[in-house]
Amino acid sequence: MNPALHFYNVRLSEREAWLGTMIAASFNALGMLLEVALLQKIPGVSARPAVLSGLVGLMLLMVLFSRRNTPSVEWASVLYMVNTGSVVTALLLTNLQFAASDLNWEPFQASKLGCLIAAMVAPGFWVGLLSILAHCLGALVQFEFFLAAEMKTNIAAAEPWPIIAFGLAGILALVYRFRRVLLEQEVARIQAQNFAIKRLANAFLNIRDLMNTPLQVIEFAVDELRNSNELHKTTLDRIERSVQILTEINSLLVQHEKEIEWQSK
Amino acid sequence: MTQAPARIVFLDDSEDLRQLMQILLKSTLGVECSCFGSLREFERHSDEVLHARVAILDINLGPEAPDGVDAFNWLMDHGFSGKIVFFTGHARSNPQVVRAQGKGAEILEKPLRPDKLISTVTRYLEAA
Repeated sequence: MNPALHFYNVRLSEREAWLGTMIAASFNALGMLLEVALLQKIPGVSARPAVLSGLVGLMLLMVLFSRRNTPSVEWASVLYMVNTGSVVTALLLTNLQFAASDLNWEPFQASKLGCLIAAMVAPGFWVGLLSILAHCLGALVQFEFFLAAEMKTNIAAAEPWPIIAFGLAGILALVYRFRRVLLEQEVARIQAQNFAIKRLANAFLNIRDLMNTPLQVIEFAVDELRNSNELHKTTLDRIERSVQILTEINSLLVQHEKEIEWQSK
Repeated sequence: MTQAPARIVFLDDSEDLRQLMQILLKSTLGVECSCFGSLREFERHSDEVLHARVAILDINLGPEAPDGVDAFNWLMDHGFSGKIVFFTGHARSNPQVVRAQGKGAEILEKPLRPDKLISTVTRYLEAA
């Protein structure tokens, strides 16, 4: 199977996952602050869900910021889901009130935005997918079962297709993002492998160069001994020194042996 | 009495190899071979070196030291007219050595059997 299709198994770096969750928490805190400001002009919609969700976002942001030096993908995913849960709940609690109180209400705008933000910043593929589905399906269920028929006709005539379209767009963007990360990781892996191979090749060339001189000394010394009737102590010493050098080179080779990664799979 | 210039000069950083080369060339060809361990020594004996008919050069002359290609360039710059032979372990792929080959240098790869070295050097001496 093409490795590029395994994008769903991609693991982001700890820092990247942490940063994504921080951005999502910031969106929650700031977005809900804006929502509270907006609610001042719309009577009949409770500000409490937005305030609570914003506070959750702020607390998560503080935790994430204080632990930024020890990031973890697992914790980033957990905190991201807490943040998503808080936002989706706040939106579901206020959507019907908006529909009843604000004649200009554009249905599920925040949920649609949530689908796209999840695609951009989710700390993992499955967490991102779950988040998009929570935004999309939450709005869909609310539209189908909790919105009055009159409101459906007057305010949300085009729904549910726009929210489904945003959900699909979010999923496609999420797939594209993680596929790109997978390719980047693959390129980085190949570059590292090339670097290691070049280093090893250079080491072997140097070792070969170091080995050839003592081998040549042995070759000449043996020839000298063969053509002489006497046993020259100096020649034997030369052979011994060359063997010593070769032994030292062998220990160098043992060090490089550890760098070789046997890929039997 | 002045000594006749050596017909062969040999540049290599291994003292054992230098001595064995001298013994080998003297015993088989009866030719004097002057040996040097560095380019500096080579330069110091420039008269002798530049009058030789064959110069055999190792490439790697030790860490940080000028190498055999530097010696080749020095010989070319000083109008050396004999044959230049690189006697090396792995430098066949070195681009500088390949360039030197284009200028007429030969490459002999270590380790080389003595009879092969002798026949090659004989050929160069006859051609020089």
